[in-house]
Amino acid sequence: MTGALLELDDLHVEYPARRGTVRAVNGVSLRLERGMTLGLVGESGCGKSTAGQAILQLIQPPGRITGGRIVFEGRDMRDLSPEALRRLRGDRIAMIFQDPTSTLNPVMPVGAQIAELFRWHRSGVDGAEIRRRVVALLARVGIDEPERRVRSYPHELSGGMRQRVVIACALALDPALVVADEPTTALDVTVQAQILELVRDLQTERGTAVLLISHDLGVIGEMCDRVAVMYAGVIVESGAVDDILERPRHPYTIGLVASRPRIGQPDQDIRPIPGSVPDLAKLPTGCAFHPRCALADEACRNVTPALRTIGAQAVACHKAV
Amino acid sequence: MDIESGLARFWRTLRRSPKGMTGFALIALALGIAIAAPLLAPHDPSRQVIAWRFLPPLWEDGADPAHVLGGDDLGRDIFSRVLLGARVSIAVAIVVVALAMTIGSVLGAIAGYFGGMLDTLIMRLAEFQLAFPFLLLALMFMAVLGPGFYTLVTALTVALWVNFARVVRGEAMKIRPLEYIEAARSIGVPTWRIVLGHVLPNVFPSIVVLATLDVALVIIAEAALSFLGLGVQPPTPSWGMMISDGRDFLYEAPWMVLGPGVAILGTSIGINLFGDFLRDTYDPRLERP
Repeated sequence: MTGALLELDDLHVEYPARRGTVRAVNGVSLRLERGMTLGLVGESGCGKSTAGQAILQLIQPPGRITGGRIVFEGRDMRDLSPEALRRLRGDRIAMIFQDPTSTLNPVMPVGAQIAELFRWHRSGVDGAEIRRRVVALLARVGIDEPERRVRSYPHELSGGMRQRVVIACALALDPALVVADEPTTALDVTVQAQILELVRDLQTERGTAVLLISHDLGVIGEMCDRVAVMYAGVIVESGAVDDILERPRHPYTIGLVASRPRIGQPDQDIRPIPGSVPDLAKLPTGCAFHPRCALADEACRNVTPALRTIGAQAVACHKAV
Repeated sequence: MDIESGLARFWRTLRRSPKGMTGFALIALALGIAIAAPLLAPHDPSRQVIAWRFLPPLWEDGADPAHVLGGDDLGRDIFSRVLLGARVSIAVAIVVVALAMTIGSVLGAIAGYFGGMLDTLIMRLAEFQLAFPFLLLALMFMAVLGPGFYTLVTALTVALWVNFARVVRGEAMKIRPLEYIEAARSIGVPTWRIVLGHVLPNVFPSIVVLATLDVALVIIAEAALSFLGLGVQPPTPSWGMMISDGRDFLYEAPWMVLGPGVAILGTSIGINLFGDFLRDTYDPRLERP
């Protein structure tokens, strides 16, 4: 049986806070097939990063996963022992973080940081061979003079170079899945394009599946096969990326797509979505989006909509057609 | 560049830094004296000669050129005693600081990284230790273990580890939530390695500075304990004990404290300068000129 590489089933993550329990992820289900790219898009604070961290079991206490399953390569990540989890991380599943400046240890040469992967996952590889592989990786991610750069400290590299190092770390052992949490947000626009291209090339070359977390529909449209739109801890719409961007059906997705500036259509207004993301500790009743939605009626205020299939996509909205 | 070894690079950086060079020279001098003391000393440091009693040093009237720093209250040659005293003082300082630094840093890193029960346990222990008068503690050790070098080292280590534990704990708590620690976890680095290999090196600059300050502190504390009869026993000389002895004759024979005093001062300054230089050179977070 060939199941999905990663399957999230009704995932719940909560953070206790003084103002009440923050339901950062409130019943998310996702499927990601081998070698594919799934985009997870949404505004700041919608729970998309938390969902990404939950996959690798990196939720920091007091936050915790309160329900659901995270099935990766047929095993529920939540059932793994700490040691089994450690073996999986970096080897089969890896993560690229948003800000390469804070992702790299400032007092460790970058080569040594990549070498950690071989050290803790490939114990048979000796020092000289590790060094050779690290140099090869740095060269592969487009770093000049890799023999010299292995000994550089992060502050001696530019932002783009640092993110290349982070990518080298994530892909060093050919993981089946990379969770990329806003990998280009902290970078210059010109560098962004280079980094995305690098990720895509490596992905094609190695058959890696990518879960790309981003607020940027442009990036999502460029990189992904499928996309899931998240709002207030739940998925409100998901489907093939072209369908979602061309024919969004959930009012929130319609708003997101409309609020995106486009080159070549200068006359088109950018229409922001009124209001802001609800407090995740005090979610509205019914559909979480109803206070900001022009179509909302009595049913939306009282009944939480379930995902249903409309056309080629799944939408969680009473009004969508 | 590439063929140059780490040691060669270190030496080149050191030679360019007046601060580092001064510190290095002073430490080398102190260590050299400690090692070669029996060869360098012109007299037996324990030999008492009535005629040498309160003998003034070279720069005072009535000095004897054979006794550069004069004689003490028991008629012993002070210069020889300063040279021999380097052995005990420096050995105690190095051993105590190394032990306290290792124990304190590891416990502090564990407390700061894991938090919760471990943190409570370690820090309550530290507070108990802080609340307990140091001399009382030292006397307890003396009563149980008997006076001597190892008792001295144990008592001082027990007194000093708290300094390191508290500093390192605070820093570890600051570092723990940072993204590069999460990143290290995300690539499957074992927890013990994260604490020792990723958190501790980030705290290292603070530890080095603290350690250099503590070396001077230990040399002085050794004096206090030796004075109480807890430390090394006479006739073995130590700088601290010589200052204690000289205190009673500060007006009549100020040169009795001068020799050991200058020795302690020089060694402390040397270690502090060298510690500063190490931090400037090896903390990659500081911008280099």
